[in-house]
Amino acid sequence: MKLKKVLDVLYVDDEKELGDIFKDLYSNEFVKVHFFDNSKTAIEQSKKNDFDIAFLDYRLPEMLGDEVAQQLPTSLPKYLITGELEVVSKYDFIDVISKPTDFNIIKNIIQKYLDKKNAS
Amino acid sequence: MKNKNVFTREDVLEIVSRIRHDVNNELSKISGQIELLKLASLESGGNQLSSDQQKYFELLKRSIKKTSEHLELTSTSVNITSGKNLQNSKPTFLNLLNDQIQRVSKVGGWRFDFSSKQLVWTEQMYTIQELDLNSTVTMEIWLDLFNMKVRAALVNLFDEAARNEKSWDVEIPYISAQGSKKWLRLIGNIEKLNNKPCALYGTLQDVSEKRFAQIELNRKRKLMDRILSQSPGMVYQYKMMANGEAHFTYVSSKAYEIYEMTELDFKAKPTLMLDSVHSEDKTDLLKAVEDSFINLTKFQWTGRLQNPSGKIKWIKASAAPHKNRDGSVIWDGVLLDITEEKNVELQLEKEKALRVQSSKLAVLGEMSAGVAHEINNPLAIIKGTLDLIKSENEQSFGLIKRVAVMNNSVDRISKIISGLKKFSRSTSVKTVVNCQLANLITEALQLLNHRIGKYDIKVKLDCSTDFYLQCDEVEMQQVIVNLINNSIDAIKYLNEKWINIICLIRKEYVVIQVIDAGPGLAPTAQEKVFQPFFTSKRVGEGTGLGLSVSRGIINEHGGRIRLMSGIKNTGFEISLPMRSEYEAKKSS
Repeated sequence: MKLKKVLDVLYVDDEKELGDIFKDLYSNEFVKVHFFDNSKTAIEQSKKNDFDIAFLDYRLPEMLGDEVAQQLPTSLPKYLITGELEVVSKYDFIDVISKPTDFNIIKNIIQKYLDKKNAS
Repeated sequence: MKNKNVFTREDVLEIVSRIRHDVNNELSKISGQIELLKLASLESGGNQLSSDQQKYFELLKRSIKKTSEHLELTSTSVNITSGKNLQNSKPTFLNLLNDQIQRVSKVGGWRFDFSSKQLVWTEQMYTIQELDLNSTVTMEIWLDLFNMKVRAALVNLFDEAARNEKSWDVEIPYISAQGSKKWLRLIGNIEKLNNKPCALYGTLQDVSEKRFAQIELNRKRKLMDRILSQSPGMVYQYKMMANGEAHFTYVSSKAYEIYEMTELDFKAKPTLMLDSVHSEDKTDLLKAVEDSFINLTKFQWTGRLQNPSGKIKWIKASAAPHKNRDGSVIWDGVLLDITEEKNVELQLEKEKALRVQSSKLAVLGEMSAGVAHEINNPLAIIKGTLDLIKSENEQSFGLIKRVAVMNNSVDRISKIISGLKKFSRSTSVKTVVNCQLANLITEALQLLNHRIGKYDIKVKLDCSTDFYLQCDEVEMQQVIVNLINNSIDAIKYLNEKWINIICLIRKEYVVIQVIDAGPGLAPTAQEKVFQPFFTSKRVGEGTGLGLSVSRGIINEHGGRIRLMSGIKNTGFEISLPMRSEYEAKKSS
């Protein structure tokens, strides 16, 4: 029997509580959420770990979400989550999700990548 | 029957001259005889006349003189002497005096008899007209002395006098044979015999000095008027009597321009200064005049005039007062039309208010961007937590229901925040999309929810969900928000507060009507509402840009915005090219 693979999700937001909620909402035996409340650690960790998908907040203390995206591995699919009214992004994200996020939207995205990973 | 007792003036004149002539002759004989007597007595007797003799001679001489004077008096009471007779008569004291008076006052006398066609006049007539004393005088010769125009006028006057017994008093130009230019005053009267005109008589006076002085005065006045008309304002003199009655005693020609009146209107309206003043500024003016009148301090006033045309002008007046002995005060001053300057000033004030307003808007835009981020984060936390509670308590129906209510609230807050987006946009790139009209309006209403609630306004939206528009959503919403906002401002303090928004299809256009409880706009406002900077709101409340910007947006969308007419309330109507739901679906 083929073991189901685990999806490693990277989530960066300066709001720690959001990270906790994100973990509680989407973590399960097949989904592992790696949350970082600062971009620097996130970038460092992305070099050591093989993440499958990234959700980045736009307004981060050290740099903006699109700048973080530029420093993450190119192969990593990236989504921007933002509470801004309007974002002119320098990076071409797969999609921009507005805050407060809809539970199902994120869940569906995660599911999609999980299915993809297991299919491969 | 001719009354023998009635003598004509001519008769009297003739009799008087004859008597005078005869008497004077006799008197001359007598005085001659006296002189002879004196000589005879000197030759016959001693060297000296006796005192008695001398007394008698003196008495005789005095009597002769007196007789002559009385005689002269009789003749001058008729006032007219024939030129010839005058020449022949002996220069007596009264003659001399009469002559002196005539010479000094430059007055001559004349008479023309209708029946004899004879013209007679005094010596002064020759002097005044610079004629030779021996020249003959007839009416034809006299008339020939004047130029054609004057001659015609004189003939007319003589004729009128003879026919209608009209006297006259005219001043006529005269050029003598020697070439001197004169002005002569000719007075004429009709003389009647048996109630029938028989002669013309009158005087001729040299009024050149007066006349030339007058001409010079007029010339100077004209010069002054001309110079003063170049002054940027009206130069005036204003007089107020002790009893408060007042009028302009002088105004330069600029006055007619400022007050939009003719010289005649101006003269006919002595209370003009006050009558034309704008009703709101009258009290102020009266006070300024009163202060100056009482304290004799400089009069200074700036205010508005309302002219007959209804045009309002700003004027600035200042004047220095002088008090007269009779208690009246005269002001000499200048009155300037400062409408243009004032308008610029008012415009600047308005623009300043606008700049403050727009900078406020910019700040608001920046703030809303910041606020949005700040609010959306906690909202995300609430929403996420709610999602967690939901997923952990799926068996508890009551809890799920409550969570759903809270979720709804979060969505509403989030929608309001995203509504702010439309105002913080920095880009002007138009993104034309298909949008559902009902949605667009609902969203706009949501943005204004707090204002609508604050003033307790009833809003009715009548819009089918089938109506689609192809438009820039943000801009279109801005237009609708603007219209509703205007409505709110117009009716917020009325007793009846309602706004009806009606959408309908008319031919190939979607029509949006925003009608409120307001009583409609003044006819003057109807033409102006779409002009930039027009506002009926107080300074600071409105930019006056709303409707003009709205019109720009609607025009760019190929539509039209207009003030609705023929309804008793205030309503604006937007019509935009239609896109049916079917078409919208097909193209998307």
